[in-house]
Amino acid sequence: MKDDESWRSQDELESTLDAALTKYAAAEPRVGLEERILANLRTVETRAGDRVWWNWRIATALAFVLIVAAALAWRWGIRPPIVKQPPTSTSPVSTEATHHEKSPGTSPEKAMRRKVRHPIEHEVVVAAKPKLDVFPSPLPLSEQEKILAIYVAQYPEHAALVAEARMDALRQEDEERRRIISGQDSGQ
Amino acid sequence: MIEDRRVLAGEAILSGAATGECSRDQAIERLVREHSRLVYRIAYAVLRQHQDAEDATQETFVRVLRYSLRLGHVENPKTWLARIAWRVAVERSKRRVHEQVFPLDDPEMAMPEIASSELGADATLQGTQLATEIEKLITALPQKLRAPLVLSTLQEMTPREIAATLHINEAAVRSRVFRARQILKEKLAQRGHG
Repeated sequence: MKDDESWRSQDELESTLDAALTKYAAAEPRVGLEERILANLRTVETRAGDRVWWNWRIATALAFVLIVAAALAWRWGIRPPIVKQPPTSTSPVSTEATHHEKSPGTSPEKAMRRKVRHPIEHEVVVAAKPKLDVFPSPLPLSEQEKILAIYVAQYPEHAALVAEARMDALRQEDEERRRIISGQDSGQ
Repeated sequence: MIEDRRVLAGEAILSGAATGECSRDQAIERLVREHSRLVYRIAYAVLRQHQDAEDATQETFVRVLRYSLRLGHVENPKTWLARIAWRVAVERSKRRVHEQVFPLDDPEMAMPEIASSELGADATLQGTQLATEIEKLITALPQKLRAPLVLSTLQEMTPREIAATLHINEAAVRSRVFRARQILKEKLAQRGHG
C-alpha cells in the first residue's frame, strides 16, 4: 500500500518535473527574428568591408610614405668616397670646423645644426679641398718620375753619381748667385 | 524526423558552400533560417531574458559570419552552431554577473500566461509558482549538472548533440541529467509539490 503511494507520488513528481522543465525551456523568439539577424549580418558585413577598404587605403598611404622616405634617404645618404677619409689637423676644412666649434657663442649643437641644414654646400667644400694626411701630398707619380724611379731601381750607383753631380752643379749655381748678389751690394 | 531532415539539409548547404555551389552568404542565410530558433532557445535557456537571448543570437550569427571560412570543414552545423550559441550565452551570463546588471522584469514573460490561460486562476498561479521555483532550483545546481540539464530541456537537442556541444561524452550527459533531475525531485518533494 505504502509502496503504491510512494510510486504514485514518484510518478506525479516526475510528471510535475517534466511539465516544469518543458515550461522552463518554452521560449519563442519575437516574430521576424531571422530577418533581424540577416539585416544585422548585412550591416556587419558592410562595415567590415568598409574597414577592409580603409585598411587598404592606410596601408597604401603608408607604403607611399615609406617609399618616398627611402628615396629621400637614398638621395641624401650618398657621399663621395673622399668624405670617408679621416680628417686631419692640417686640412683647412677641419681647422675651419674646429675654429667654428671653439669660437665663443657657437655651441657644438649649433654647428651640427648648421651642417645638417646645408648638406650640399658642405659636401661641395669637402670635395673641392681634399683632406691630406701627409705633406707634401702623396700624389700619384708622373710619367717622368716613374721612369726615374725605374732607372734608380735598376742602376743605383749611376743614379747616385748623377745625383752627386747634380748637387754639385746646384751648389755652384747657388755660389755664383750669391757672388753676384754680394757684388751688386758692394757696388751700390 | 523533421530535425534529422533539417540537419541533413544543413550539411548539404555547408558542403555546397565548400564546393562553391552556393555562395557563402546563401549558406549563412540558410543556416539562419533553419537554426535561429534553436540558437535563440539555447541562449534563452541560459540567460532567461528575451532581449538578452536575442542579442546573444545576433552575436552567435555574427561569429558564424566571422568563422565562415571554416564552414566547409564543419561536420555537423547544428552542433557547431549550438556550441557557439552556448559559449556566447555563457559569456554574456558571466558578464552580466560581473557587471552586476539587474534587469527589469521581462514584460514578454507574463504575456503568454495571461493570453493562453485556459486553466483556472489557482492552477495558473500554482504553475507560475512552480516555474519560479524550478528556475531557482536549476540556478542553484552546480554548473556541471546544470549545463546538460538545461540543454536537455530543449526538444531539438539529443543527448549526443548535447555531448558534442559541451565537449563531454554521451554517457556523462545521461548520468548528469539523471543526477540533476534526482536533486530537483528531492527538492520539489521537500517543498510539497507532486
